[in-house]
Amino acid sequence: MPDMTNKSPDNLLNVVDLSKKYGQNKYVISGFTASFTPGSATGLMGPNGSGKTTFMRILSGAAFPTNGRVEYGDKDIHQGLHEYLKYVGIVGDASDLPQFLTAEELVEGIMRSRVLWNSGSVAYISELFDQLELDERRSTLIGTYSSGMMQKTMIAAAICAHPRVLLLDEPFRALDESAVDSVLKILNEFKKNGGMILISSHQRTILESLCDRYIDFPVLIS
Amino acid sequence: MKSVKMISGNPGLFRTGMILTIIGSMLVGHGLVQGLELSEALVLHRYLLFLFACVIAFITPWTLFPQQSIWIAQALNPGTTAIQKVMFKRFGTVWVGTMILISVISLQPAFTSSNIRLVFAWLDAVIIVHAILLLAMVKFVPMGVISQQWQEGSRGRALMDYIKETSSGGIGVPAGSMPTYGATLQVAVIGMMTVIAGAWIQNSLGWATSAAPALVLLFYALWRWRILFSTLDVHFYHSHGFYHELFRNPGGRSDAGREPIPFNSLYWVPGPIKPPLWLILRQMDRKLPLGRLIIVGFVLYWILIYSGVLTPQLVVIIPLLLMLVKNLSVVKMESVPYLSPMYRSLLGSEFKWFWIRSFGALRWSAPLHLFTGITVWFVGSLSAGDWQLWIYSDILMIFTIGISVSVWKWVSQRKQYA
Repeated sequence: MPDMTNKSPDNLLNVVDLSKKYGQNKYVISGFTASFTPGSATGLMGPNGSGKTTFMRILSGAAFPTNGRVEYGDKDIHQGLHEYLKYVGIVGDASDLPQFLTAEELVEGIMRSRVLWNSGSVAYISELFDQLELDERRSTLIGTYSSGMMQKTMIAAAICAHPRVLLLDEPFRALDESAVDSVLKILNEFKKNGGMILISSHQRTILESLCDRYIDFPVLIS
Repeated sequence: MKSVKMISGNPGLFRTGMILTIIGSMLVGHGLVQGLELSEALVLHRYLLFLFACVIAFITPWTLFPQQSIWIAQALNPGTTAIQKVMFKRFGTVWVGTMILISVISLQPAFTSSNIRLVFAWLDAVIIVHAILLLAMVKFVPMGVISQQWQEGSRGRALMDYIKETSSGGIGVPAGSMPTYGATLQVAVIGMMTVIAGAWIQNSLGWATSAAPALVLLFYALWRWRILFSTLDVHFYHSHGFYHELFRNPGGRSDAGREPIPFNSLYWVPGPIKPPLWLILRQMDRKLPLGRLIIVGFVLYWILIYSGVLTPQLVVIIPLLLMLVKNLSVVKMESVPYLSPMYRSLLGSEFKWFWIRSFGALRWSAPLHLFTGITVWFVGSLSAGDWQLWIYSDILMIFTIGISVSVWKWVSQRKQYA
C-alpha cells in the first residue's frame, strides 16, 4: 500500500456549512462544518434515518448539497468530480455490484479504468482477496455470491485503486467475525500509511480499534 | 472501452433489444411506405419527423438518468470522453430504430422510382434526428442543477404556490420535474419548427435546400455540447443525483401530491394477485401519471386529426403506440428501484407475475378504448372495424408482453444461477 503521510492542506477534506434536504421536507443535515485529516479515521454514528448515508452520498458526489460545500484541498469536490474521485474508494450498497462479472474481473476493470494496471497487478489482487478471505469463488460470478462475499468484493473494489480517502457505509454488514478482523487490519494499515477513513456503523465496539473520533448524527445545527 | 461496457449495463438485454428494434423498424417502415406515391412518401417523412421530435424530447431524460448503479461509475471513475460514450450508448437502440425506419421509408421508394428527391429527404431526416437528439442532450444533461433548486424550493416557488392555490392541491407532479417538462416541450417544439422551416425553405428556394435549418440546429447543438463537455462529469453526477432523489423520494411520503390507488378499488382483480398489483400501481401513481399522459396523448392526436395532417395509416397507428406505452409502463414497475429482484420473487412466481402485469396493463384499457370509440364516432374515415382492431390489438399486446417478459425473466434467472 502506498505511503500517503503527506498531511499538507492539499489533502484535507473540509465540510463547510453543509445542509441537505429532500424536496420540501425538513433538513436531514443542517449547517454542518468539519475537517478531516490524512491518517485519521472518523466514525459516523447515529440511528437509522439520521442522515449518515446522505452525508456519505454527498461526500462521494452521488448527491449534491442544498447549501454549503465539500472541499478536497482547495477544490469544491462537486465542481470537479472526476478529479476528486481519483483519490476516493467507496463502499456502499452491495446490491450495486454487477452480477455478471467475477470479483477478480471487477477489480481488474477498476484498476485498468484508473490506469493502474501493471505486471504486478494480478499478484496484488490475489493478495488483496487473500487478506479479505474471499476464497476461490472470487473467480465465479458475483450474482452467485452470499451477502458477505459481496461485501468483501465491494471492500476490495474500494481499496484496489490505492485511494487517499475511504468512504465506508456500513462496511461490516454481513461479515463474519474473522472477516471483520481482517477488514479492520487492512483499514488500520491504510490509516497508518496516511489514508483518511470515514466510516458509518451501528457497532461502536467494532470501531474502537480504528476510529480516532466520532460524529453523532443527526447533525442539525440551527 | 471496457469501463463504458461495465457502466452501460446488461449486454444480453442490449443485444436482444437491438435485434427486436432492427426487425421491428424494418417491418414498420416497409408497412408504412407500401403503395405510396412519391409526394405521399415525402409527406409521411415529415410527419414521422414530427413524431421523432416529440419522442426524443420525451424519452431523453428518462433514458439518461438515473444510472442503475452510480457506484460502478464512481469506482471506475471514467473521464468525460467515456461518460459521453456511456450517454450516447444509452440511445443505441432508439438511434438504430430511427435510422432504419427513416432509411426504409426514404430509400425503398427511391430504389423503385429512382428519384433523387427521396435521397435528399433521407439526408435531411438524418441531420434533423441527430440535431434534435443532440439538442435534447444539451438540454437534459445539465438538468440536475436547476431541477434540484426547483425541488428544494429555492426556484420556481412563486409559480408552484400559485398553481397550488388556483388548482385545489397542485398539479400532481413534483416541483423538481417542472424544468424537465419545460425542456421536453422546448425540444419538441424546436424540433417540429425545424421540420416546418425546412419545408418552407424547400418550397421557396428549391428541394435541395430543405436541410439548411436542420444544419443550423445541428451546429448550434454541437457548439453547446462542446461548452458542456469540459464539465460533463459534474453534470452526469448531479443529474443522476437529482433524478435518483426524484425517483426514490427519500424522506417524503409522496411526490405527486395526490392520493394513490386505494386497495379496495382493485375489486375487479382476482384475490391472489391483488396485493402485489396494488404495490406496483401505488408506486406507479406516485411516479408516472399514466392516465394524464394518455389524455394528453389523445388530445394531441385529435388536434392532429382535426388539422388534417395525419395520413390514414397514422390515424390508426398512433393509438397503437399509446397502447404500447401503456402496456410497457407496468413492466417498468417490476424493476429496481420500484421492486428489488428479491421482493419480486417473494411476491410470486413467474406465472403469477404474468397475471399481475396483465391486469396492471388492463387498468387503463377501459378509458383508453372510450377515447378510441369517441375517435371512431367523430372521424368519418374510421369504422367499427377499426375500433375492434384497436381493442384486439391491445389485448394481444397485453398478453404478448406478459408472456415475453415472464419467459425472459425465467430464462435469465435460470442462466444466472445455472
